[in-house]
Amino acid sequence: MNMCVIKKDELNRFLAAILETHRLFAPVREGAGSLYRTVERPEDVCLDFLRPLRSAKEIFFPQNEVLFYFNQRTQKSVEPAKDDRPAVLFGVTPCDLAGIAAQDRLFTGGAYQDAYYQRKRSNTVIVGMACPEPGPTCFCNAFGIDRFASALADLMFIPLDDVYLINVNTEAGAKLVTSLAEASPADLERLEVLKNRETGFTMEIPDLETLSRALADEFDADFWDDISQRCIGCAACAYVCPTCHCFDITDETAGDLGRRVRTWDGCMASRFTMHASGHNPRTRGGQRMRQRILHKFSYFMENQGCLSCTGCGRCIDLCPVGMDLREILRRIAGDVLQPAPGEK
Amino acid sequence: MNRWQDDLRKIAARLLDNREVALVIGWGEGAIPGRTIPVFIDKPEDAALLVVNSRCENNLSVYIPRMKERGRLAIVAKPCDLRTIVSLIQEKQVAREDLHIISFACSGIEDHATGKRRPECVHCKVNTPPVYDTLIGGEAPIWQEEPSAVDAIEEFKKAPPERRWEMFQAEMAKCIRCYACRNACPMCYCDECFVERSLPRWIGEGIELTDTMIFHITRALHAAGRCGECGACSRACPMGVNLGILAVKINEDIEKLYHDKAGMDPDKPPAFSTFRPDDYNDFIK
Repeated sequence: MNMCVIKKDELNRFLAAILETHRLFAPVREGAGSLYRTVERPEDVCLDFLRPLRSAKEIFFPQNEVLFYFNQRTQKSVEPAKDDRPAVLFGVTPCDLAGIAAQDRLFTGGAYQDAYYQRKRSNTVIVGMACPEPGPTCFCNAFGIDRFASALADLMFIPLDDVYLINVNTEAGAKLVTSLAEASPADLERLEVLKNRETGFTMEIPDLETLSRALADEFDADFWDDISQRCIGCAACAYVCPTCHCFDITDETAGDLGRRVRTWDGCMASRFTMHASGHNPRTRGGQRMRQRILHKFSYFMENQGCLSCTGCGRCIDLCPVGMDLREILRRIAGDVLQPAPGEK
Repeated sequence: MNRWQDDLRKIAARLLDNREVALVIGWGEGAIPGRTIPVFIDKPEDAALLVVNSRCENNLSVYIPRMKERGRLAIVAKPCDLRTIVSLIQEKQVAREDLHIISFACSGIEDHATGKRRPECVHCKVNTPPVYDTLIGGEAPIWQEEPSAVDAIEEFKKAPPERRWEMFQAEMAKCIRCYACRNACPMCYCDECFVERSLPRWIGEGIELTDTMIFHITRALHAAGRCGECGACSRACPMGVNLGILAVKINEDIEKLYHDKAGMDPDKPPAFSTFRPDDYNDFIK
């Protein structure tokens, strides 16, 4: 489709117009960073950071979600009131767009239809925000992510000096930009210059599709215990991740009344796989690290057809002990992709 | 600092070479510029990976309980880290003779993101190591910068209870219950934490404010009289929750009421593991 343009100082007016007819989610300043939040006033939108502290997944898959309330005596249940007005999710980074694409495959794809996810996802228009300058822990290049375009976004904003160029990908997106001017040839020229600029990806990552195939045979490899040595087993990496989707479901009760709640869960925690019997199949850190890596880089590919990582680098930035997923991938690739001595 | 580092590498190599220890737990440089990482050295030739500088943020004593099965350990520790090692010794989690403690004088570490001195370090009152086997370096380097004007820990200490409650709730609202604080804390070594018990379930799994607060209040009370004020919890937090406000206040109260400072003397029991007739007991009406 076509490409249009908006001045940066007109953005608030654009968002205000959206707010008249839609709910709006966008990055909002929070402490030393930003988070995707419900926005009431356009001026609260904060695009000052490379990416929000947590990914956009929580808009459709919140950390804490009441599925229904129940009464054990009457055996009746009722769902919480839901806001089904159309929504716009604005300012989504390319890595988070790729994260939503992966979550879509899981929650709305073939094998599982998650009604709670779908209900929120289906009436949300997604507006991406291109990322001209990757950060020091970014490695989205390893996933072939285009930082200037995305098939998932209904609209894709590209910051360019004093304007945003807007790639219009869908009818739903087009409806939001009917009043905007078309981009000029000069704008498109400037975009080409921006796209061709040198980027600052700092670490070379092995070919992940090749690695993905090789990992299928590495369940019993020796390196898992070694690479997990310094991990302290918290869930920080899983909770800031755009693709981690494991959850727990618990009933919280008081007398006859209760509610069923879905909450995020994280596979690096030692009790993640604790069985009701008291048996825990993953007692060692190495077994848990193996699960994290194989799920992201092998099983998800096998089951859903894509990798369950987008190279956003949040887990690297925020790990309390400086675990670096890029180094882990390089280490594993060094072991499994190199021919053994004497082989070709 | 370079001489400190050279000394450390020599000592570590010697300890491994003489088989006095099986493993040296120290800091090394990671892949992110400016961010040191915990490293585990078991060969003398790898001692060259060790570093000492004002960016050595992790409290490595969190690794003692899980690494002690590998044999006698050498551990590099800042004075505050040492206080948690002393607490672990007091609580019989590791024997004093099974550790070779390498320490140094410290005047604070910098935040790897901002380069500024960490707030917990501004409040630190123990910058020379209380116990050690080997001391490296000399006088602690002096920080040039002034403490920042907004000091949440100081504000919390002085505030009336209602304001403290507000400040505490504001911090708790940021929490995502990832338990990085608990897992980075050397004193949180329980095999089973109350938050993970399901029979009975003590608190909800999610991020409802009351559940989050119960987790942090219970943890703070469990750490009372044992906390070395190293700030590992605050530094571990991916969401920037300032857990120091509660820890520092409770520690000051313990010092005032029970005349004890956690982690200073391995031969003395912690405040709440003992009873003295003159202990503060005004809360018994």
